[in-house]
Amino acid sequence: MEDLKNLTNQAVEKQPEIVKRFNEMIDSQHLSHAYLLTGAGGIGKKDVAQWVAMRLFCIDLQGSMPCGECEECTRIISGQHPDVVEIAPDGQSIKVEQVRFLKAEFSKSGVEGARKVFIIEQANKMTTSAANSLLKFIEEPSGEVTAFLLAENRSLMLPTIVSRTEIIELKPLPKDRLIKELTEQNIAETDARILTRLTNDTSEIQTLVDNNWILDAHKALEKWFITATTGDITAFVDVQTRVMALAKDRFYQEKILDLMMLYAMDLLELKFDQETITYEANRRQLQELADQTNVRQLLAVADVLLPLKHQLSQNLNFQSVVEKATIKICNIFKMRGR
Amino acid sequence: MSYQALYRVWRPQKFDDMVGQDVVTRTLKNALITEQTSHAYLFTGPRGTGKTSAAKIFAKAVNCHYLKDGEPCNECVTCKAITEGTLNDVIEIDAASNNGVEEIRDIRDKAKYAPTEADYKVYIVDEVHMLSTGAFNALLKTLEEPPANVIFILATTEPQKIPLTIISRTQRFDFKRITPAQSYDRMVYILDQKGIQYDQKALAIIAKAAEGGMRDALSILDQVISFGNEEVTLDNALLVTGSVNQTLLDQYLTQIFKQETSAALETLHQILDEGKDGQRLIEDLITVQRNLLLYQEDPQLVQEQSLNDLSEAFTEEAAMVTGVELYQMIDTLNSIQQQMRFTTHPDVYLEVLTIKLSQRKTAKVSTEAPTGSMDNQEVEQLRSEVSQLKQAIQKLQQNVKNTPSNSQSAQPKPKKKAIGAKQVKTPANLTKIYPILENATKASLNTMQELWRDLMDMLSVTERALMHVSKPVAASKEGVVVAFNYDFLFEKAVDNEVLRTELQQNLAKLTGSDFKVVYVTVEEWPEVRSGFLNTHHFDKNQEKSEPEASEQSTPKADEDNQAVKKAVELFGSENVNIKND
Ligand SMILES: [Zn+2]
Ligand SMILES: [Zn+2]
Repeated sequence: MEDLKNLTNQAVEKQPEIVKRFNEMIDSQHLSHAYLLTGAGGIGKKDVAQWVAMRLFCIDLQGSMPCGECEECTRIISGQHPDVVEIAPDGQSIKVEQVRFLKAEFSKSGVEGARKVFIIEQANKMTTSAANSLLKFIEEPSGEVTAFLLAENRSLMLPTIVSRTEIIELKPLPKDRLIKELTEQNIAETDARILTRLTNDTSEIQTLVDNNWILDAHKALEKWFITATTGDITAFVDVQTRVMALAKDRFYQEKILDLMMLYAMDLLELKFDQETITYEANRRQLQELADQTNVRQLLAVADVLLPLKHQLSQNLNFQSVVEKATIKICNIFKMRGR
Repeated sequence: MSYQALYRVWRPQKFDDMVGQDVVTRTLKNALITEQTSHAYLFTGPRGTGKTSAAKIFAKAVNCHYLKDGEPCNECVTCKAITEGTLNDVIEIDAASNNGVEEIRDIRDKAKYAPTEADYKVYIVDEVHMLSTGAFNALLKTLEEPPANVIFILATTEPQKIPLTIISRTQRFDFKRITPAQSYDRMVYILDQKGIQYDQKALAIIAKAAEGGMRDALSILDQVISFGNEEVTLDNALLVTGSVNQTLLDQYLTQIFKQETSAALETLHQILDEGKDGQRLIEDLITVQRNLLLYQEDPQLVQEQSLNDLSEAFTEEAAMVTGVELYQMIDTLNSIQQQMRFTTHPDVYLEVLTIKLSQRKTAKVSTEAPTGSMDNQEVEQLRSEVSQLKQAIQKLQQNVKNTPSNSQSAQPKPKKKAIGAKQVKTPANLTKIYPILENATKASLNTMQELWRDLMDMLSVTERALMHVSKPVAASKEGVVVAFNYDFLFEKAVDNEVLRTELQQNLAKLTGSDFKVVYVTVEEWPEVRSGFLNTHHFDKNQEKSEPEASEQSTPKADEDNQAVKKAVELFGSENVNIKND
């Protein structure tokens, strides 16, 4: 029961304005047939969608809040509600067969009541035909259907889909609150800051904290970056000896590339006197480096590090992506020495 | 009793209800009046421009017995049944979900039978570009031998994906993007009908955010209404569209134009903290900059387009930048927008964007003395740049005097002497050079060398002077590396975007294909080249020749003489100006 309460609270806590907005829409019967909820991982997209479902189905509303305890609420939370259906990518994508299956399920379960809610996680991974098929289905004015498409970024979605949904951008969670939460769980503040730059998703954060991964990663990349930015080509060796062990799979590889990118960002932030940086522990070192380097070079470093994650998604080999980047950075700083 | 979305309730029921498609509706009405309808139509155009609505109106009109001026009556049994989607003879097919050959074959078989209730069977195939090849072939067979009393209306947002054999058998209508003014007017009409209060500024924002789709405009309007107790307020319009508050946007742009990077970054953080979508921010910036460009050309036009709502800040901004700068900034915006599509950290890209936009180099240096607004570092940098230039020119003159027999001594030595020169020195842009070297071939280089003189002849006198002793040292099918004998000419060329653009455009004219032009100094070239060869395992790539080494270049004395003269011409005045400080 404790968990269930937490869930209803999370939507309210993370996105109070959005919850209020949906409340008003439900009260005035303005709920629309399809919403696209956008925002970074862990921002509360699914919490909001489930909250709306509970708000619609709950048989024991507390004021305008779902109780989180009744039979309807419990079934929604556990993903067992026949009229609240969740789909997520099956492998790399959400396929048209999944949507067909879902349609079939719905025509069967029609007896349960007219109201239906879909929650589609990582909706950007729908194939074009899956998305079109789904939206046409939703648009048919049979029964009352509300679909929630969840995606990190609106630009990842097909324009035809975007135009058929109402877009709701979730506000980023206040960083400080999350950092405080993490420090209360005995994570060092400097690490907490780095973690929140990588993700807002608490389960992802947990994975990164496990076995001291983030600690080791910070250490290894710190060494790598400092070496590379002195134009010292031994940074190339660091990739094999220090970085590779941390890059167990695609998830960690992506995080490593993000961590590298954030170093480039810190240099630029410091160059232009911005207060907040990611690598607080390295502030002095980075400040010095930023002072000694001109803007053009710093931008060149950013140009090397920013596209790495996209290169990885193009099925390039992680190690060679990082090694190439290392050489480029070394070269940028080698020229400086002459 | 679910809420009916505005765009469904207000879906046009006759041609005259349609927004912004006058040519299309007039032509269709004429065809109906003169009974010269075709058996297959292709409706193309961006999303939300009314293709499906027009198809349904047409289906009604062609079947309505009370047709008046080409419009359906919307009262008779047939019209009503079509509106409600219950008439069996009007069949809507979504190619996106029915893309199988079987379904189209099914159409083929069924199309043979005469309509049962109406005069014409009308097939409306939406998103027709999604059909598989097999399905297209089946459809083609039907279109080749059209059954009597059957009409096909194919609708698509992507006509280029439709086989020409299909297109040639249809009558094509291109639906236009709806202008902000048109969707503004339509919203006003609907809101007046519904008796809902509205703020005009809010409607302008919605019209802009809808990007040419009427459906988009109405669906945004819906949200704004639902969030504002049956009222359309500016705040809610900003909230729902995710548009950046105009004041913040103006503040940001002004800081960019004034090259106040730190302040611009702070404003950016403020914008991001509000949860604004990065793509939307870039779109907004591009829109403003395009309008600024346009405004510099034709103020009247911009007035009209922006619904006569030009802010004071806008006109001030227009005076702050030149057209060339705006073009460059729009380029930067476009390229970052592309890169941002793949990221989960849009904020990082926006920071880089902000720095790039606000750090652009201007020609200010030569036209006016540094002002108090420049920071010390910048002044320092200029000073050292000047001293470096002077030294370089001296060096050049010396070199000419004692014409060397050996090219090595003809080139300026790496300079350690100029204080602060280290800061100024531009490194070779390896990130741009390497991709060219990766695909470099001897043949491409030869081609480039052959047309080099022609290329130089296309430049202006000043530009030619700048490029005078440069030459191509490596080339691929997409790019060329140009080596400069003199560092200061190299520095000058690197900063001269106009020159680069000119070179690239002229190369395109000469060769018919696009080349990137990248610079390097002769002095750095051997190092760049060997660095590249070391890091890329070329031993296995036999088919690619090594980029040419460049030992042979000994500039002729008279050429140098000219170069010196030109160089002094070029940089002398700048020297004087800055000395004035
Ligand atoms: Zn409940
Ligand atoms: Zn009629």
